[in-house]
Amino acid sequence: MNRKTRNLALTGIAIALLAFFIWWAQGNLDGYKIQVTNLVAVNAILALSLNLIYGFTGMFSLGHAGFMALGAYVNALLTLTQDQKTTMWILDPIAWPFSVMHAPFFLSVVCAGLVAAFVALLIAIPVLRLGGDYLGIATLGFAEIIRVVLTNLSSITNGALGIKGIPGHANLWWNYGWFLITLFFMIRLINSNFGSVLKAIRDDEIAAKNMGINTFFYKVVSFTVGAFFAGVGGALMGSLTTTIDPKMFSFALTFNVLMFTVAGGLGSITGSVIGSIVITVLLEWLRIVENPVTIGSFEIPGIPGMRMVLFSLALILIILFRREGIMGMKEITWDGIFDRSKRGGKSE
Amino acid sequence: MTNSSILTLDKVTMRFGGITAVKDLSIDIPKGAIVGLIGPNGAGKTTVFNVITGFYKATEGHVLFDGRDITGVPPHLVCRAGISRTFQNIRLFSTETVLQNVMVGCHVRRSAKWWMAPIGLPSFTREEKAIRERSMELLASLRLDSVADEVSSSLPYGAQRRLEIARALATRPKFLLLDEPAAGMNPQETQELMGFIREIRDRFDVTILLIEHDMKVVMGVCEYIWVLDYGEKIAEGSPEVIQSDRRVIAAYLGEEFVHHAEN
Repeated sequence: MNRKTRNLALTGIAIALLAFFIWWAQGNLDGYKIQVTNLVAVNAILALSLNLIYGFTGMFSLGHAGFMALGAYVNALLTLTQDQKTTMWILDPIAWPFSVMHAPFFLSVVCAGLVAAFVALLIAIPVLRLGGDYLGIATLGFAEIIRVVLTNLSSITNGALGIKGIPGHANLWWNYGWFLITLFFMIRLINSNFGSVLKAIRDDEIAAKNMGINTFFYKVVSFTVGAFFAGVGGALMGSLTTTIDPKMFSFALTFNVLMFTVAGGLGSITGSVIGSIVITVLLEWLRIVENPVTIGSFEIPGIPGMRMVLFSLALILIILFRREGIMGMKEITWDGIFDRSKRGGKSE
Repeated sequence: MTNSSILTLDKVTMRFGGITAVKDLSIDIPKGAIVGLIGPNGAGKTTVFNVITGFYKATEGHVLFDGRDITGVPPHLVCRAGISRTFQNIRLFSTETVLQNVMVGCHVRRSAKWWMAPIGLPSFTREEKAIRERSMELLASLRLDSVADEVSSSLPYGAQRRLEIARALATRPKFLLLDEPAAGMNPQETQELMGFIREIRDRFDVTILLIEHDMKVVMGVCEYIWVLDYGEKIAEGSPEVIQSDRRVIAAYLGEEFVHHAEN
């Protein structure tokens, strides 16, 4: 009981510190740094959602960009005003219910998640009967279908022109708020017996079935919940960049999310968070190698794209020397920090 | 068989393409018994287990459990009906702790739904606690409570086998199938296992069907034995009857040894 109150207090303090940091950052950091800080939160949401599907339930899904696209478009349609929508849709005039739809930001993000989850549910029922690499290919295909449909439904999505001027509601407070909601949800789910059930499906599906687990049902649940948070992440990302178009949601985006998750550690909540922080910051920080460098009388011109070379090298090194990612399957928990003799418990 | 039967195989045949793995097998298992299924390698014993637990659907015939036809019922519903099993090659949830493995076994009997976990309803928390306590009790009764927080794959072989049994018992079965429980155990562990199987039957009120190659175990704990060879039942009876059965000796040792055995 004592430990429980202590952990609760520590979690409270951590959240308070985060709030203080956001308050401080808004006043003292420049726009660029704030944008990177925002990206960290959104990427962490995405990494956590993919970790639920791939890391904890063992379903190799490459459909994340598709779910993010759905979330981003739903959010854009719900937050733009009617005037903005009628002037922006050039190819085809915007279809009726979409032209007048409007919702406050929080509700809009929830709707974004729900639409992504609903589409994921429809996809899950035929596709999750597949396993392993086949599932990866099938989900990849569905993500592409979503993208192509969005490109061609120009009376709803403004087609290839995309949507501009999305209200930038997604400030630090919203992004970190949603990040905490996602984190809380994941911790509660994974640390419960249902989390053990998901991991059991990952470890040995046959044994899981024999232990009375309806593995198909739980795979669908995990996939749908993961897609919900992918939709939320997509909505926040759209609101953060204020511009979306179908090309944004190509496979490269899925690959990015996969990278955060794998580098952080498949099957680790803290891993996903750390992976998102490290990689997002590293990607930005590596921009210095693209600037011209002067050493003595030498001047090395900046080479655009150099940071991706270095970054890919870093990834190769991770895969070669630490295949399980930064955290592996371990978690950083309050108990783990304060009483090293005991393991398990609540993670932050 | 005087008692009422808990599991009945009624002329079960299992074919894979042209191969008949089990042919016309009829078995009747009385409630509360410890019975054995033996036979040379490849005789179709594990196939019988897979048919009972719903992994294979019998090509012909029926499986009746507790008076209910469970032919073709999917595995997770067979488990819910009250049949649990262990595996020949251990199948633990290898990245999870010993306690988590057993708690997953408890899952099938729980009433909470998954979405209650993030919300943290009081009824959910209470049930979670009850499951944890029950799992610890099960682990204690199998002398695994001291390693509850270890990762299951780090346990020694014998302990892994015991953990599989604990996990199977966590589903509250009425009928327990043990697939070669003594495989890989040393003589002392085997001796313990025999006492332990009887203890489980009495304590958890289950009927046990086991596949085993170690004849000391089979003859020591089984009250009744069926012998399979090439998918067909070649003998059945008490251990004494089986030990002196011509066809069993022939199946295990070859025709030429039959007269040696008889002398």
